[in-house]
Amino acid sequence: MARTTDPIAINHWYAVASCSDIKPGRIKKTRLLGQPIVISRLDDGALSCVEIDENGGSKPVPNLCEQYGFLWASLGTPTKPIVDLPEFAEDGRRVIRRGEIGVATSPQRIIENFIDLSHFSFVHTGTLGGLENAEVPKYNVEYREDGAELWATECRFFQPKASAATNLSTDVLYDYRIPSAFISIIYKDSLVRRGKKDLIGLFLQPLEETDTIVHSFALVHDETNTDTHILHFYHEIFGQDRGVMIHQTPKKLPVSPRRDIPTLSDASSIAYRRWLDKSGLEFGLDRNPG
Amino acid sequence: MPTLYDYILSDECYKVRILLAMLQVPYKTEKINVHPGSDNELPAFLALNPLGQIPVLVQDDLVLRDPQAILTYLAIKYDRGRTWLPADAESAGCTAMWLTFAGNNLRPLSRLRDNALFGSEPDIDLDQCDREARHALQIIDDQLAEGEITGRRWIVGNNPTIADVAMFPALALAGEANMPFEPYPAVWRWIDRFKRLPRFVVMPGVLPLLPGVAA
Repeated sequence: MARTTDPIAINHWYAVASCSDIKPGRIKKTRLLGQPIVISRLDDGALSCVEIDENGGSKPVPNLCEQYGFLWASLGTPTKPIVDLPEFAEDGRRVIRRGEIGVATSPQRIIENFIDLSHFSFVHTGTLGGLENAEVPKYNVEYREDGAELWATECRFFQPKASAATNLSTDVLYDYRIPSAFISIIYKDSLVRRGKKDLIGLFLQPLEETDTIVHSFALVHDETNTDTHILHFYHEIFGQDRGVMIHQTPKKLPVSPRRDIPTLSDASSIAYRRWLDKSGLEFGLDRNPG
Repeated sequence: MPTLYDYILSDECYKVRILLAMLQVPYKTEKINVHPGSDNELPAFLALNPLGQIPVLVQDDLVLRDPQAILTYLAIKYDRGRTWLPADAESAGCTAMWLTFAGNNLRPLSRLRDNALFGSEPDIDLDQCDREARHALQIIDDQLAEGEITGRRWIVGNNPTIADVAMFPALALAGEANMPFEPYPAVWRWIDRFKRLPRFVVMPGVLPLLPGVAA
């Protein structure tokens, strides 16, 4: 696919690498919105990211920034700053780098799966849900920041093993935040530090409309497990999600109200689809009215 | 008790997890950060396996690499009925032949999956891998389809062997390599049979049979 012409997608910020993965002398070839890019570390230690044109020529991407340990790029003129996550600077949480995982679907399918509660019992049986407790209690959906962010709050779910740090079956309280069509963050009750939140976030790098790299992180309270143990927990969960997402059709997310028959537990997904519909975004979306 | 050096998303490690579960062998797991950490390339791991590959199985003074070798060891040590690695010459020979096939000829399919998941093979020749993977799938589909006609239920004979175990992960995860199942219906039916074996375990990307769905 050629580089997208969707101006809304072009003007977003995207995570394109984990900074520590780009070692001196190594180059990383990847794509963003159909645009081939090359990331490398310069002799002075700074990171570089260039766009490669059809003739093999290169020019720097117009916007580049390091934040939260990730390299962020925008091919256009960003209309909003990179998502604000002050928790990265707070004490007490461990940062778990979860690596990059490719998923052959649209970024919006991945966000929709991430914010969905009703799949827990069937896809993450034994950890995030159980077949005996599949009911999704009612939760709130609200728009914040003048409609720029979508939140699902007071999501409560009974989880047999909510994190690597616990073996306690318990009700867990979640808030989901969608600050951009390509980013979502979970704020989840810590079962280690009562009253504190663990964060799990996805920063999506769309290679093409239906091919995405998922950069993700966890900011967790956990004083007992090794990083590798926590990593395996998250990769098990995400591997289960991935197995479902790559088979969902159409790969582009339908946003017309006539394309879905929702139930009450789908409130967050439906709000996300309507919010995308109104945003004017075309990239990754199936706008067939049905 | 054996210790398995394991990574949760590895199809090669999954081979060993399946047989350990089916033979009800208690074992310890040493989790390795293969992705994104590449800890399998660190000196501590290379001391166990100079090839830097998982899985590795350690039991007392024995250090085994290569999942096919590990399956062979576990079958002889723990399968008292000797059905998973049959003792008669003909079946043993056939099992070894298909074990080698799993270790060699299914690698392109595994590499396609690794690349789709981790982007870990930047120099991969996708077209060549795809051709080789489809060729291997066709050979297995033929072997299984022939069995359906002659009454042989598994890759070798009428009992599942470690050859079936060694093949199952790459085949069950073929969808993750963007490989279609439609041209290989006998493989599809064999995957269903395999999932019905006692003490079958899943891994992420391999769906369990739905409860209550009849054979």
